[in-house]
Amino acid sequence: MQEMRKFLSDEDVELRRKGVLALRRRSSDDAIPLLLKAMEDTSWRVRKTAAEILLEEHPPERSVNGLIQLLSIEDNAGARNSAIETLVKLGKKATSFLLEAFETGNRDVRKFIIDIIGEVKDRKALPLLLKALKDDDDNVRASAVEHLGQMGDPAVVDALTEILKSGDLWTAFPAADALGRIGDKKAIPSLISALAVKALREPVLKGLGHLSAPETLEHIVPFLMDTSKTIQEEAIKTIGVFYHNGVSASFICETMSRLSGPDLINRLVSHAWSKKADIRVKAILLLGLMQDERALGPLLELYTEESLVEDVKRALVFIGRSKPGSLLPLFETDNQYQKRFITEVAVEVASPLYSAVFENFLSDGDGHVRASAAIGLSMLGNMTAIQVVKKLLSDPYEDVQEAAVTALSNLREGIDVDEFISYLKHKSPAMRRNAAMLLGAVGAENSVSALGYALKDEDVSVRQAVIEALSSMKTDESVKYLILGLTDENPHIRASAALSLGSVGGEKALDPLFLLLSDSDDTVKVSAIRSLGMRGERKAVKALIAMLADRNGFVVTTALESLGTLGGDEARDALMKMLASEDREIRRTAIRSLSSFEGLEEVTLPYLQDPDWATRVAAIEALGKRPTERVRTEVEKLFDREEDPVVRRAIKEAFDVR
Amino acid sequence: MFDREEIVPLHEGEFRLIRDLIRDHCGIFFDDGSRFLLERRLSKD
Repeated sequence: MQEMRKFLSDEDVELRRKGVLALRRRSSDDAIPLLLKAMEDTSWRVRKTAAEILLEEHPPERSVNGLIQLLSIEDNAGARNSAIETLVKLGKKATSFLLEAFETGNRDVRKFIIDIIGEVKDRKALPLLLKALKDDDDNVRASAVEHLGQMGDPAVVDALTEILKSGDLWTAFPAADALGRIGDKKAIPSLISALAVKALREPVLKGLGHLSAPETLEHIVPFLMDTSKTIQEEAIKTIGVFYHNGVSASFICETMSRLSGPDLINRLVSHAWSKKADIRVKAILLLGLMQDERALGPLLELYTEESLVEDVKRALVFIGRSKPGSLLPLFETDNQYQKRFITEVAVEVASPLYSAVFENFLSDGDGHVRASAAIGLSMLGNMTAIQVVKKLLSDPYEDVQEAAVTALSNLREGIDVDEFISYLKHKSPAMRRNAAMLLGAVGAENSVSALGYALKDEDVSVRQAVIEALSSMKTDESVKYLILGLTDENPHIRASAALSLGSVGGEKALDPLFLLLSDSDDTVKVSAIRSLGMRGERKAVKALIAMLADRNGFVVTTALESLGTLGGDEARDALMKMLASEDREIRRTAIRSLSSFEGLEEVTLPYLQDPDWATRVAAIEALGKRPTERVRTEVEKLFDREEDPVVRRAIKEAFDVR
Repeated sequence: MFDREEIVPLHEGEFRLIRDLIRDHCGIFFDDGSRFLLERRLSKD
C-alpha cells in the first residue's frame, strides 16, 4: 500500500493512473481512502478511474460520506465535479446521506446537494427541496425551484405559487416555468396575476403555454401588441403552443379578433419575416388562423417540416372551411408532394367547390393524389361520381383500388349491387377482389350466394376478400360459407375464416374449429384458439389446455389468453401450472391471463420481484386490474426502488403513481 | 403505400422485448442507438 501511495503522488499522470488501477480488488478499508484521495487529482482520467472503481467495487455506504466531503474543497473544481457525478450515479442509495449533509453552513455544498438530489429525482427528498425554497442563499433557492419543476410533482404547486407571489424575482422566474411544467391548473390564477409584473412576463407566458388552458388565452392575446418585441414574440410562441396542444383554431381566431386592434395582422406579418425560425413559423400559423390570404403560400411551404405538418394541415383546413375558394390556387402546382398535401387538406374541407379539381385529379400521375381525389369526391355525396371513381377499381396500384372501394362505399345509396355481383366473375382478379370488398363494405346481403360461389375462385386474394365480405354480413348463409372457408387449401384463408367465426354464435362452427386445432399450419391453430376464446366456448377448455403442450410458443400463449377469457377452475389451474414454464413470454402471458380470475393477488405479487423487467411489467398490469390496498402498497414500494424506466412507466399507468 | 417507406415506431418496451429475443437467439445486441435499424428492418415487407 505504501508503494501505491507513492505512485498516486508521482508527477507522471500515467503512473498515478496505474496506481489507481492497482487499487482494484482491494478491501474497502485499504482502497477507499486512496480512491477518494485520487479523486482530488488534477487529471480527469485519474479521477474518472478512481470513481469507476469506487462505484463498481465498494458498497456506497462506505464511500458516500467521503464523496460528500469532497464537495467542500473550495480550490479544486475537478474534485467537486467528480464527486457530484459519482454521487448522481449512486442515485437513491446516497439520498439519506445527502439529506443529513445538507445541514451545513457551507452554502456551496447545500447548492451541490440540491443539484444532486434534483438530478436523481428521489421523491424521498421532496421535503428537503421544499425546505430549500426558504434557504438564506439565492442560488440554493433557485436550484430547488428548478428541480422541483423538473420533478413535476403536483405536491409542490402550493409552495411554488407562494414563491411566485413573494416578489423575489430570482426564484419567481424559475417558479413560473416550473408551475407550467407541472401542469396543475391550480397554478393558473397566480400565473395570471404574475403577468402584471413586467420582469416575469416571459417565464409566465411560457408556463401558461405548457398548461394551454383555453380560458387563459384572453390574458395572453393582448401581449401580441406589447411595446416590448421580446414579449410580443413570447406571446406568439405561447399562442402557437396552445394551437399545437389542440386548442381549436376557431377559438384562437375569435379571441385574437376580439382582443386585438386592426394592427394585429400587420404586426403578425412583420413577425412572419423574423430571422428567428420559431417566431417566423408561429407567426405564419397565426396569420393562417386569422385567415389572412397572405399566409397561404408561406403556410403551405411549412408542411415539409415533419413537426409542423399536422399544425399546417389543421390551419389550412380551418381556412378552407370558411373560405374554400382561397385554397383553389394552391392546387395549381407542379410539386408532387405539395399536390398530395393540398389534396389531403381538400378532402377534409370537403367543399363542392373542389368537385372539378378532384375529378381532374382522378387521372393524375401520382397514386396518392388519385386515391385522395377519389375519397374527396365521394365525401361530396354526389352520386354522379360513381361512374368516374369506378374506373380506379382497375388502377395499377392496389392502394388506389382500395381507396376507390372506400369511396364507392361512401356512395352506397347510388351503388348498383347487381353490377358488382357480376364483377365477381370478371376476367381480372383485381376487379373480382375489389367487387367482393365493396359488396362487404356496403353490407349487400343479397350478394351472399354469389360471394359463397366466389369462395371457389382460383385467386387467393379474391377468396381472402370474400371471407372478409362474408364476415361483415353475419347471416345464416354467410356463416355457412365461412365454415366452408375453414377447409380452404390456403392456410391464410382458413385462419381468416376461423377468426371471422369468432364473433358469430351457433353450434355449427364448433366441430370444424376443433378440427383446426390440429391443423398443419400454426397460424391456423392460433386463429382457431383465439376464435374459440372469443366465442366463449366453455366446451373448449379441455382442448385448449391440451394446446398448452404445443411446441410453438405463439400457440401456447394464445391458448393461455383464451383460457383466461373462458375462466373456470380447470382453466385457472392450467394457467397456474404454466407459471413454472421456462419460457419467459409464456410465464408473462400466464400472469396476464390469470388477472381475469379473482383472489389471485398473492400468486401474482411475488412476480413484482422477478429479475426479468418484462415479467415485472406483466405482474403490474395484471395487479392493476384489481388494485386492493395490499397490492397498492406493494406496488408503491416497488416504485420507490425500481430503476427500469419501462417498469416505472407501467406502474404510473396502471396505478396512477407519480 | 406506393414509393413511401413508412417506419413502424416501436414502443420502448416492444423494442427491448425484441432486442432480448434476438440477443438470446443469436447473440446480436441492438443498443438503444440502434433502435431505428430494428424499426426499419421490421417495417420492410
